[in-house]
Amino acid sequence: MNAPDRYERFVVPDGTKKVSYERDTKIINAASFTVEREDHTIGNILRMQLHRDPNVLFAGYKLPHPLQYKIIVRIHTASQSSPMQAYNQAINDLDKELSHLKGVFEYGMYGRFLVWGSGPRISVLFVELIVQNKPSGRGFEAFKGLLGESTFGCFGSTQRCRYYQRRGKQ
Amino acid sequence: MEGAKNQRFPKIKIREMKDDYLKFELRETDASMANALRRVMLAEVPTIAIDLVEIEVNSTVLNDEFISHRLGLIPLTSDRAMDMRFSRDCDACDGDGQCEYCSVEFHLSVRCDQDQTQDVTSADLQSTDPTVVPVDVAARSSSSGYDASENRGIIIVKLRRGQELRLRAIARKGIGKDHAKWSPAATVTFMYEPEIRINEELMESLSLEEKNSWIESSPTKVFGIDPNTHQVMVVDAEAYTYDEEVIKKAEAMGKPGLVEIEAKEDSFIFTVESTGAVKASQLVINAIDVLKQKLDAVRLSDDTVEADDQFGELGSHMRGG
Ligand SMILES: [Zn+2]
Repeated sequence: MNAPDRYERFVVPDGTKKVSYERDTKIINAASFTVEREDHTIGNILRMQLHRDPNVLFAGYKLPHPLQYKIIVRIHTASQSSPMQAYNQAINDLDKELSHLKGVFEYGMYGRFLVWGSGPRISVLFVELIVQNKPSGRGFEAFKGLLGESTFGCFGSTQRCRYYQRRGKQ
Repeated sequence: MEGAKNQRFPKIKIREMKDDYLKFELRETDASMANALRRVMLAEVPTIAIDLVEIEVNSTVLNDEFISHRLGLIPLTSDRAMDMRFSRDCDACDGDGQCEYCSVEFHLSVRCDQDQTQDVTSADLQSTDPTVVPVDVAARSSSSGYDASENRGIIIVKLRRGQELRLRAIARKGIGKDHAKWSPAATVTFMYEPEIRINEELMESLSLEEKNSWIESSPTKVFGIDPNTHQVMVVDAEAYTYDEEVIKKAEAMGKPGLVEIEAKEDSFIFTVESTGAVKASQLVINAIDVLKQKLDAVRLSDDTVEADDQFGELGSHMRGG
C-alpha cells in the first residue's frame, strides 16, 4: 500500500541532479562525485578506467547503502590535472572503447556470416585481419573498400547480408 | 589528444552464434568492462512484457493475480523495445493502452465447451502489433529449424467444461532491474581464460601410472595423454573450473610446481543465452548501446562545471593567487 514505486531504483526524482560534485575542503585536487541512480555497473568501470590515468593518484567508488540508489566516486589527482578533468576523460575513453567494441562485434558477426554463407575462406581471413588490426572502429568502411562495393552484396541473400548492405549505404 | 592512450581497443572473436545462444571471446579489456556488459545484459537491456491486465471473465481454477503474473512472464519478441518509450516517460498517453509509442495491447478469450481439458496457451494471446508476439508463436511461424510439432505454446491455465478466461492485457517496455520478466537474458556468464603451463621436465619424472592418476584427479577433462609418446598435454583448457585439484594432487605426489595455472586477466569467454525476446547477438549490441547511454547520462552538467569554476576563482583569491 505504501510501498515505494519500483522505478524509484533507477529513475532520478524531479529536482535532483544526476551528478553532483563536491570539492574536498582539505586536499587540493580531490573531489567526490555523487551519481544518483547508478550502481556497480557504472561505479566499477569508472573506477578501473580512472586507474589507467597516470594523473590519478586515487580513485574509488562506494555504494553507501543498498536502499540508497546512488554511488559516490572519489578522485584525487596530481596537480597537472583535476578530478573533473579525470572524470570526463574516463567517461570519454570508456565511450570510445564501447564504440570500438560495437564495431568489432558487428564484424565478428559478419565474419560468421561469411562462414555459413557462400563466402570464400579468404574473405573470412580478411574480416579477421581487419578486426584484429583496425582499432579505429572504422574497419567496416575499410572492409568495404577492400572488397569493393559490387562484391559487397554477393555473399548471400539472407537478412544479415541485407542488414549490412543497408548499413553500408549510410 | 592527450589521454587517448588510456583508451583500450578490445578484440572479439565469435565462436558460436545461434538465435538464442552466443559464445564469444572478449580480449584486451578488463573484468570491469566484462562485468558491466554482463550486468547490463541481465538487468538493463529493455524488452516488452505484459504489465497490466484487465480481467473480464475468469472462471478458471487460478485467481486473477496468478494469471496476471503468468502472463507477465511470457517472453515477447522485443526488437522494437530499444526504440519504444517507457510508459512513465510517454507524453502521448496516460499509460493504459493503445499508445503506439509505449504499449502493445493483447486480447485473450477462451472458453471450454468440451469434456476434454483445454489448454490456454501463449498462442491464444491476440496481439495488436504483429511485431510483438510471444516468442514461441514467432518461432513457430518462422523457418528457423525449430520443431513446430513439439511446440504446444506456453501454458497459462487449463480449463474444464464451462470455464472461461477473457481479458485485455497491456504490454510495456521495461528493464530487468524493475522486474525479472523484462530480462532478455536467460543466462549471461563469462569465464577468465586459463593459461596452463605444464613443467615438462618434472612431468617426465613421473611413471605412466602416476601421470594417469594425476590426469584423473581433475574433475573435468582438462588433460590427456598421448598413447604413443606418453606425453601429458592440455586437451581442453577451458574445461578447467579453477578447482585446483590437479595442483593439490601434484603436491600430494611430492611434485609441487608440476603445473601452473593462471587466469588471464584480460581475456574472457562469454556465454549468452537469450529468452528469445531479442537474438543473443542483438542482446550484446543492445547492451553496448545501453551502457553508452548510461555513461552519457553520468557526464557532468554545464552548470556543475560553471559552479566549480567560480569556486575555483574564489579559492585562488583566498590563497592569494
Ligand atoms: Zn504512450
